[in-house]
Amino acid sequence: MENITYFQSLDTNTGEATDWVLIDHGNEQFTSMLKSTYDEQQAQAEHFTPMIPSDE
Amino acid sequence: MPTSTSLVTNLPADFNTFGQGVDTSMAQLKGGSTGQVLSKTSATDMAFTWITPTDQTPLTTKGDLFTFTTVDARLAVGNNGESLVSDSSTSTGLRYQGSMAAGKNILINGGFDIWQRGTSSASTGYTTADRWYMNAATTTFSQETTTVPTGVRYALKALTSGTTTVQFRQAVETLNAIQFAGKTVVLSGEYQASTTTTIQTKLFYSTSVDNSVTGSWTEITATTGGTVSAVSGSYTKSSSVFAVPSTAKSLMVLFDTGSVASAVSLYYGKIQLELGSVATEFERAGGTIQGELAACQRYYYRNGTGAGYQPMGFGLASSSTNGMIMINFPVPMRTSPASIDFSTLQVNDTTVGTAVSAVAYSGSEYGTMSAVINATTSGMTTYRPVKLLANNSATGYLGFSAEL
Repeated sequence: MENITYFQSLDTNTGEATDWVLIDHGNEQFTSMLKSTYDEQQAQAEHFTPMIPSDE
Repeated sequence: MPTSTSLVTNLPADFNTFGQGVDTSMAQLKGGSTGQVLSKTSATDMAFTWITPTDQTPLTTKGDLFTFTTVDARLAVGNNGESLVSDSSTSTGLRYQGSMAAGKNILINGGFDIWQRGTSSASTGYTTADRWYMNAATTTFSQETTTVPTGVRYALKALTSGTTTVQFRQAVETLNAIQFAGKTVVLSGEYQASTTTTIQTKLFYSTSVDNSVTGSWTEITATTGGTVSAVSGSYTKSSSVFAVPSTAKSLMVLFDTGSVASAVSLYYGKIQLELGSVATEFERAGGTIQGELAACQRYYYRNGTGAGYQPMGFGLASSSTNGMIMINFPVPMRTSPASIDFSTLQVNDTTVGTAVSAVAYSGSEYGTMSAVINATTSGMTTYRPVKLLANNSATGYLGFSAEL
């Protein structure tokens, strides 16, 4: 089961913070990406054609 | 025989004498039979004889070539998709062989040579063989080293752990796919199963540039093929032909079994998508193994699975909780990597090494060639040089994804 947390990363040039998502895959493996990228992928997944088969 | 100055006094007799003279002179042109030709027997005028020609055509079958050894000879037509090449070791100096044109296969890692992320996974996504997106519904995808097609080292194995649909796919970006727009293409591969299973070999297209593998796609109906019956004990070669719409900008191949029972093993190898209607000999998209690796690293690059303290990069501590690390990619990536994978890392300033809990880009300091990442950690001394290492684990890694 994946666990999603949010954090911020600081731009050391501008001092501005950007929002990031950290996905914990549960086996000491992680994926991080910009929150905007994550939101885009989640929206796209709703229109996935052909659909991924689900467990039967 | 009268001469030109003779006085013709008896025309019938003189003409008869003339005719007999002509008949005697041309006697060797008389005779012969159907199909025979005249041949000189010496340099003497009118020294001819009728002979039957020996250079009859040796051709017997459609596609045969009329060639020569020390005599006229036949070269039988090659197998489908083969090309004619010169070969001085053969009697005719010619030979048919499989086409090995560089770059003909636009599916990267169709031979399943590259496994940067790992060799086994039961998760959906880009999880095992590079460039292949696995739909792992009750299925474990893994690297197969024993049951493989002839001529390659690996195959992709899918093992079901319940009744499910085995499905995986690869999207082809526009730069590669658009050359196939409006063309006939052939999708080929070799397949095996622990119990006879029908595998659907599908091709999809999109009019969007660089459409995501999880985006919206339209299926192209196969003009021939479209399914293959994978059987136990040996690989079955199969090909499917498709007419790609002229508006296509992205392509995606997809392999789908429909519903299969639990504990079924399926094997896939030598997957190729090329121009034409006849499948030719399999070839890596990258040509060589290093070319294939570079092609894969354009979409995903992982450093790791090496030594316990495998080095990943070098930088400095921007604060007590952040290591700012410079990363150079081995090849330019398709786009600026959209996500970062990591496991079991530490930031080390030679005095202390502490685990990394999160990784992100430093603002906009990333592109297709390199990136500066912020590695969240603890116990650092600000502005001290630091290394990013595997945290005393051979499974530590850092990866960057620019997949479709």
